Amino acid sequence: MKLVRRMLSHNRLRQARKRLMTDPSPTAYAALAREHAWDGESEEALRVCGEGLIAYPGNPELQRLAERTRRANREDRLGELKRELREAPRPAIYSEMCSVLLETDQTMRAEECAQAWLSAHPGPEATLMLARVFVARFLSDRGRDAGQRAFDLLSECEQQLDRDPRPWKLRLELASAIGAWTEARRVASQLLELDPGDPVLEGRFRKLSALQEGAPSISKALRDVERTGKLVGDDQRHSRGDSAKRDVRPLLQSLAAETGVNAVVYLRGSTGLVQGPKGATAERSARAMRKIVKTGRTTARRLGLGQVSSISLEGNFGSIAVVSGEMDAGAIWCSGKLPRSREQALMNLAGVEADTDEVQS
Amino acid sequence: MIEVLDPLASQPGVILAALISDDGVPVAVPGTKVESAGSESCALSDSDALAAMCAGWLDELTDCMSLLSCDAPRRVVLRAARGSLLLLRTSGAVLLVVLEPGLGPEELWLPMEGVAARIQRILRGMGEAAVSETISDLEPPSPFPKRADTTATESPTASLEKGLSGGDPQGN
Repeated sequence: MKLVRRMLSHNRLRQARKRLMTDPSPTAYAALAREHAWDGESEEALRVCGEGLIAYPGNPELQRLAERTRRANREDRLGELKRELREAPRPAIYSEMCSVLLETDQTMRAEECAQAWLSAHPGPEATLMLARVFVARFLSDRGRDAGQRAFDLLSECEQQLDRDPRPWKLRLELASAIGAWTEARRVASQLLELDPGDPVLEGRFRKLSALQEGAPSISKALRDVERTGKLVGDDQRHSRGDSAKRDVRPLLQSLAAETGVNAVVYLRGSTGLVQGPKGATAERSARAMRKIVKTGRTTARRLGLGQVSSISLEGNFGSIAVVSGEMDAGAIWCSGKLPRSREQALMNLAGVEADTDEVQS
Repeated sequence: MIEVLDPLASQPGVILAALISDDGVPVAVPGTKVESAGSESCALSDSDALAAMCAGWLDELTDCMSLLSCDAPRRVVLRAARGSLLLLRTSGAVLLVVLEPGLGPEELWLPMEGVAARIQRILRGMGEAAVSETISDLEPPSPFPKRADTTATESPTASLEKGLSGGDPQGN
């Protein structure tokens, strides 16, 4: 059976290679990579994707395929690690498993794994891994509790791991992310003691010295991040990706044209695009939707529920559904229940990072 | 109240079910999936904080709805990465459920409505009892003692009255 499958796949691979030779298009690259992936040759599939991405940089199909192959590899590795943990649990396996889970943004499972490691083999390495998990969790959820816990765990690590720069580097990253410049400067000076003369660190220390005047304490900075949901440099990061923006207006118009829809709103930054109501009513609608999103995000962070994906309200007014992306949100107000098709359309609305230069109410 | 919330808390995927009264008093029943809520620092473990946050958020949502010239929402769902928060506003209380991630609220609305109706019945019963007590307290005291029901248990006053109307008890 294996032999037959091997022969068939070999034939298909040869044909895919020939197609790529005659027509080196992204589709042909993707077809060959897919053949390799089906054959279980994930490394070869990744190599073909890489080759295709060199020829066609940023091709979404090849990028998606490469990402899926990497994810499949990680899942395979996770399966193996789980088996090894069941048979012979040891720190190296726990460490690798936590790292893989953090790479795949599975912070909850990573936290469970790190806790299990800490209870089975207590030590500085397990504490450091748990601190890494909490840092990752804070950076994704922006909840004060996770941030504070990360700082506490890092303090424990610093005491246990004498002259080890890893906890200090993590602390520097965290303090810089929340804008606690005084703390960041202190950590940078500590790191300079460990590695004197490092030009990058010296440059950073000088920059932090300039910023430290009037900087908030750790607890105040954490509170500010929880309230606003913004880390230092978030705005710059998102304004860099402007090239990918697309016009959201046709989607808003098509949604607003349906029967029973009172208003459709797209929110990004301080801008709201409203379809449906006009004038002052449009402005009030945008304000109301923004407040719903803002208060919902803050409540979720405070409750430790993490990043909000959607909020829906029902009452005498009908139903309001809000879908929240990382930086933007889409909202729809219908009289009556919200049909599934509109919910799907709303999902497409949020997270598109649309162009909001042209403001319309 | 805990017996009323228990069936809701035992639904699969429920992390916590709680009832928050108008004056902010929470009655919380943990579900079967408490450990999924995350670390011990999670605000879900503190029912007072949870009640305060949810009540505050509902007030803010009411303000938002007033901008749209609408009433306060009756049902609210917040879906997030680590779970979902479901709020059902009834008269005088808010029913709250926290679900574990990935579960939809659709299956839970019916049991929540059932619990809300049961709570309403209980509150109505308590209210009626309180009203009848208040009315009896407000009645002015009569100048004469009330005639007791003779068909009921024999009271000392009743036996005294019987003795008075019956003439000489010794048969003279």
